Amino acid sequence: MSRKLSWDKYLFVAAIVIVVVGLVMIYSASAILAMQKTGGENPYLFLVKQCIWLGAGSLLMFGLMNLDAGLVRDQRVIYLLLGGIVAALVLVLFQAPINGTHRWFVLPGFQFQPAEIAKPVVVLFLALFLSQKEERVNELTSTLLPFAAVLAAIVGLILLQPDFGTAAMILLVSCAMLFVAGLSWRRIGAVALAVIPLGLYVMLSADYRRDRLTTFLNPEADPLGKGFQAMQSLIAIGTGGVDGLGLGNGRQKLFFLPEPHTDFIFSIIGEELGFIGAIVVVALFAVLVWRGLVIATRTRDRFSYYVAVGLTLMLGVQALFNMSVTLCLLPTKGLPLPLVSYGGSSLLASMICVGLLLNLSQESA
Amino acid sequence: MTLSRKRLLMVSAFLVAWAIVVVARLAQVQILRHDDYVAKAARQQERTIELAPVRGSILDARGRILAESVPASSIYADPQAITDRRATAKKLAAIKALGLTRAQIEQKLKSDSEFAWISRQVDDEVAAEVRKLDLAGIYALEEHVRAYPKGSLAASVLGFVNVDGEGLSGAELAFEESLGGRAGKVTVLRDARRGVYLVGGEGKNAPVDGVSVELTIDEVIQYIAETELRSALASSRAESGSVVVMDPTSGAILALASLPDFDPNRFRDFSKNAWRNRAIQDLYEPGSTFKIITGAAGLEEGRVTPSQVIDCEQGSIEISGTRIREHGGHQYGYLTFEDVMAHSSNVGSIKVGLAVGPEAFYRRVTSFGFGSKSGVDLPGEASGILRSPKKWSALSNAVLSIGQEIAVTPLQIARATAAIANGGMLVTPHVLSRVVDREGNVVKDYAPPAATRVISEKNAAVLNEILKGVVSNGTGKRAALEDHQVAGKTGTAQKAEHGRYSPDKTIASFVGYVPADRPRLVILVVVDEPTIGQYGGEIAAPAFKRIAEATLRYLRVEPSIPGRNLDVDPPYLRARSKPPAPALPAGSVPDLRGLDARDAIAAATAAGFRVRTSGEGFVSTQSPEPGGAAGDAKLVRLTLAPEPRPVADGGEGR
Repeated sequence: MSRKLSWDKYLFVAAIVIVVVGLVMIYSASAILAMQKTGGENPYLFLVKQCIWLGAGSLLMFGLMNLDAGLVRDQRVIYLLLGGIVAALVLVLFQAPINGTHRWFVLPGFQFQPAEIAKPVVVLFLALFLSQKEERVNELTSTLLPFAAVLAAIVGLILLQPDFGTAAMILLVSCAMLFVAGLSWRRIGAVALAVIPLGLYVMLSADYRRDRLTTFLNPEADPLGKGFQAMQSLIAIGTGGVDGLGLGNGRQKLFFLPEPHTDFIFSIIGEELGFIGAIVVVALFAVLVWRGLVIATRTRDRFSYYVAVGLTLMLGVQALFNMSVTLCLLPTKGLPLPLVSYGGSSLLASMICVGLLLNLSQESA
Repeated sequence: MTLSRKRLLMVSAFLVAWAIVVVARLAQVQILRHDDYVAKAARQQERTIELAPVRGSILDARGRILAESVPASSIYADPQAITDRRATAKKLAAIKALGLTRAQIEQKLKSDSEFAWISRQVDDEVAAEVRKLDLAGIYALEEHVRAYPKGSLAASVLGFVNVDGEGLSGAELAFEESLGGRAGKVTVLRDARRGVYLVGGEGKNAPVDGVSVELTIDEVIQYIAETELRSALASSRAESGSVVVMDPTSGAILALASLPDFDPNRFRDFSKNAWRNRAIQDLYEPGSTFKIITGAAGLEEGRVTPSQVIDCEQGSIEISGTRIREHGGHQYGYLTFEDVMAHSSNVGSIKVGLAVGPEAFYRRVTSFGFGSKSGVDLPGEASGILRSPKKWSALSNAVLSIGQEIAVTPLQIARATAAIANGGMLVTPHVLSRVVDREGNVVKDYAPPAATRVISEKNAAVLNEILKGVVSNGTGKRAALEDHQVAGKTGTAQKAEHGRYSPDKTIASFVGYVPADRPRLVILVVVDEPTIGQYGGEIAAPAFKRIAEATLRYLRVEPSIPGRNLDVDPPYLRARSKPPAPALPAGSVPDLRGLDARDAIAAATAAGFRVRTSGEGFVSTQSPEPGGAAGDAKLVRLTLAPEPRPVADGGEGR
């Protein structure tokens, strides 16, 4: 058994601060929307729901932090989780569509998004897979094809929903893990040849994704149409200036910026807390990623190493991706800001990542 | 370092680079392009609502209101807040007083904006009815509507405003800067869906109400001028005409009448022709009234003296093949220059004009202000037509001497005559007396431009004598007053039609001033196309007389011909214009006699008295007498009679 250390305090504190900032900003961004949805009665609608999820997430996180490391690396547990998540991703396709997508299981009062939970599960599976095949990572039949097959199944299921953002995130982090595992540059070239045309095809095959792409390339061409979200996000962030309009004083949440409390919460942060606030949030994520990578380098075994790398990248890349979208650096994708954006499944998945990382921080090589 | 570590480092470097790009982009958007985005945000988040100022009033020379802005309600809609346009339109259309059909209202509600007028400046009852319906998205707004309480009185001087209260013509336009005030602005924060979200405290900017403009126009003199002009037009069956009444010393215009006129309260119901201020916009050939200028030029150039004898050639003179005759076929022989003017001899005047010569004559005529605008502070003034000698024909010098080949405005003639009346100074006619704020403080006084001398005092006096002669024993006899000596000149100009002089269409005019030796008034009466009679002496001169008489009496000008003191107030004045009450000791009873019941009660109440009346109509007697003490009861008893009792002038020893 590994020697027990205390949890990584930096990671823990950074994660808690990010979550608290998230709650404050969710309230600020959603109060008016909530008032409108509840007929002027309850501005706390979204905040309360998020707090309930946070409660569940905290339990899960503390559970994972204290979990016996042996259970985590048990192959049977991982395959069980993988099987469960694949089943859930299949089942969710048969749910009644919400906004034309099949992303959610609808429970009374709550919605649940299995693709979010797929993120840590895929990381766990790939970590197991790569730790076993580390010496043969460049072999086509024993490593790359099985890797590709599992990934294709999961990403494919998620694309069917469709949820391009989550699919891309999983694909991106998986490839990064493979890269870290030592994939040869030759293979990388081959994978790129295979993946990039496929990615382009996927990106351009659906109208809404093509629109988002062309919009991204020139958001001001059609500010009231498809470039609306991107433009409104930039206006929000731009008006913030150095020190922001002040907490709660944002105006873009007055129905100019759609989804101000979910995918575009970083825009509201930029508007209300300014450059300083936005930089603080970026710094908090930097701490998160820094500690995650430190934890990875200190892990005792290859599995833990890949888990820590994968989970850290999952949080870090998604955060950068989300910020880049709000800043119009990347085309609009439905991706929440981890630990911050409103959304139970996303919060839960992010807290699973943090919990597992904290668990791994207790062991040392 | 293992490969894996190396790879992890590369990934980390990539993440760091990405983070730097994000931070750099944040700096660009939030710091470098901050202002752009603030402007973009303001464009979509804020709406500036203009708060209309209350327009200032237009007052007459004695502070009586000629135009004022009174509160009115306007109905508007926020089309975005209306869910069922059809039902809303139907309910509104049910209010018949709005005068809109369901389809018309529905059309207005189709707007994409958050603001659409339904009906502006409606009656209070209509607004109340709309409010009672309590329709979502339909609101009433307090606005001000322009009201002209005296109706058509001085309409062409006052002008009118558009529905937004901006002056479009007349004094309303001329003094827009003072009257209009400054609109206030309030910035309203709005959201993307439902219009106004909250009113921003910042950027609030209260409107500055307009200030009032006091004119030199006197309501009563204006009324006299319009009434007499109307009756002159009626008796001569003419369609249009104008009257100028001016103070010859200051250039202050006391009345400026123009007929046909219009009611500025509903100016759109009248033709544009009725909107014209004929006294400053219409051009006509002055005819014989212009002989004053010919005479002035002759005297100033030393070409003629009053007693100089001129051969009037037995009725006609031939100028380069054209024979010019006297009016009415007169055949004058030798006349003194005085008599040439008194009888308005064409031949004699032409001889004077020719003696002056083209260049000097032209110079004299322009010096009297012809061919250029008088500078009156009203919009749309015409400058008239006066060709320079280079373009003159062989006939021009001659016919200009009798007021042809020149087009003038009535105001130009009045102005030039004023220069003779006041001893030789050409003054600038004006209607602005002063600008006063709501508290009655004078904001600005009229600053008259310097007057220029156009004729020597001596020659002005000579002309004065000549012009007195025109009235005492010449063509202007019917302008003579019993109380005052009048100086003036008649004019009968043939109208040009299709390039020739019409045989029967004339413009009859009379210009004069009174009292001749200490003139208070210059009055010009112009009657266009009289169909009964045609001479200025028979049509315009009597109107001059009546206007002068009534105005001098109203102004309490002591008779300048001794032994004359007749009560000749026209009946309409007795009822209408009570001269301003002389200062009475505080607390004493005001003079209410001659007022109608309503005015009398108002005046008495304002002075702090109670009133008991008996009878109907106008106050004939009052108890206590004016100036008396009413005692503790402060009660004034008024006896009313159907006919107003003439207000005896001087009867009280004033």
